[in-house]
Amino acid sequence: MGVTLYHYPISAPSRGALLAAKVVGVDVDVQIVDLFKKEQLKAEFIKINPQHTVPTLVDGDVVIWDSHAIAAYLASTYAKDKSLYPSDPKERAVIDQRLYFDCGTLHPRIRTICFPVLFRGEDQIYDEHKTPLEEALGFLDVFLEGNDFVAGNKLTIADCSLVATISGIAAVGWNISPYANVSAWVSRCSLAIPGYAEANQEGAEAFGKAVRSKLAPGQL
Amino acid sequence: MAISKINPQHTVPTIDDNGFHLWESRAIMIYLQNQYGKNDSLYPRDPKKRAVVDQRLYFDLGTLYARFADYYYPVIFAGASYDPAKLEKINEAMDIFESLLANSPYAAGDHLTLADLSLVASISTWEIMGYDLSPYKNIRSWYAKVKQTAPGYEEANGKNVLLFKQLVDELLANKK
Ligand SMILES: N[C@@H](CCC(=O)N[C@@H](CS)C(=O)NCC(=O)O)C(=O)O
Ligand SMILES: N[C@@H](CCC(=O)N[C@@H](CS)C(=O)NCC(=O)O)C(=O)O
Repeated sequence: MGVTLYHYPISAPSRGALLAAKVVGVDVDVQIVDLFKKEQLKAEFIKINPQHTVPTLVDGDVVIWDSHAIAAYLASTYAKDKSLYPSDPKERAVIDQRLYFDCGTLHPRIRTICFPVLFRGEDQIYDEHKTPLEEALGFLDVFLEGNDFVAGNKLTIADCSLVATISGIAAVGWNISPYANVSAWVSRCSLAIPGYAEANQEGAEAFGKAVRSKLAPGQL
Repeated sequence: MAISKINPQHTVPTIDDNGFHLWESRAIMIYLQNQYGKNDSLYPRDPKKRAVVDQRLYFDLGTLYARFADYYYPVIFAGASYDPAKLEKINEAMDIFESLLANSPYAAGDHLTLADLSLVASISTWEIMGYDLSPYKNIRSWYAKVKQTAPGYEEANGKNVLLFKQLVDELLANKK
């Protein structure tokens, strides 16, 4: 039995998990869960993941969700290239810190802006939400100072998660050019991650388009 | 020393282990375990078991802790009033946690792991803020068990939760 990934392309965490599968080089059977049709709330899906979020991964008898836990699991279980998630405690800790930064800081600050627009009829972006996002982009820019990738000079699973998040907000039209390290790193990831265009860019653009189409003019 | 020198994100907790600087509480827990742990029971090496612990840690950060913080912090630190919609989001997260504990005495299986230590810091904080745990039978028995089995619980968490409450009471009194 293969590995199944419940996925929705506009979701950044979901694309992050798919990118991790790509860099690890494991084939996953992608099952689409359409969040606009609320398919995640169907009883069959809640039975698999009571938190009803995408991405969710099923591998034999184990169900894993949260994109970051999925990425770590895929790398630990299937990666030939151990540098994607090294076992050295210090190297791994830096990657973990970046993953927690994505989960607890960067992605939530984007979600605060975009979720109400996509699902609650909001059409404005408020200054009180812009500032925290700019701050988080600034942190990422500092993490990248002197590094090709977010946890050092090699591509790791932390790049997969963070680039999925950043490419979404960039596709919305957020100006990331003031963050020179971030901009350069996004291009670097797009070349370094196999299948990036299909696995990430298409969904990021669909996300950007969906958010833009619901925003009042002049918000960005 | 200014914390921003070693942690550009200037958050606590941050550690300095002979020049190795790390922040994000859950990344720190994992690092301490990987670097200094005597056995792997707090953070199993088996990838499937470890993934469950990881999932609970991300659940705490991104959902449980986050929703409580979103409800309480604006009130404590910015003089806002309580928003019932945010309380509803907390209750939803608590329902998920309650269901995760239905067949599992600890957060990630049959023994104490890092997930319990992270989650108990969250739950104990919100309990002292007055969140009502009584509807959550599984969470209550889990909480009692973790308090008993987590080494040094009182010293590391129990006492400090009380200090947090004192601080909050002072902040709220000053606003009046
Ligand atoms: N921290 C989680 C976040 C997952 C998440 O919030 N997924 C959203 C889409 S971006 C979702 O599935 N929402 C549907 C729901 O909560 O019902 C992760 O990284 O996997
Ligand atoms: N996700 C982080 C959160 C850390 C955090 O937000 N710490 C707060 C105190 S609870 C802080 O240090 N704030 C100071 C600041 O951001 O400058 C972790 O678990 O370590």
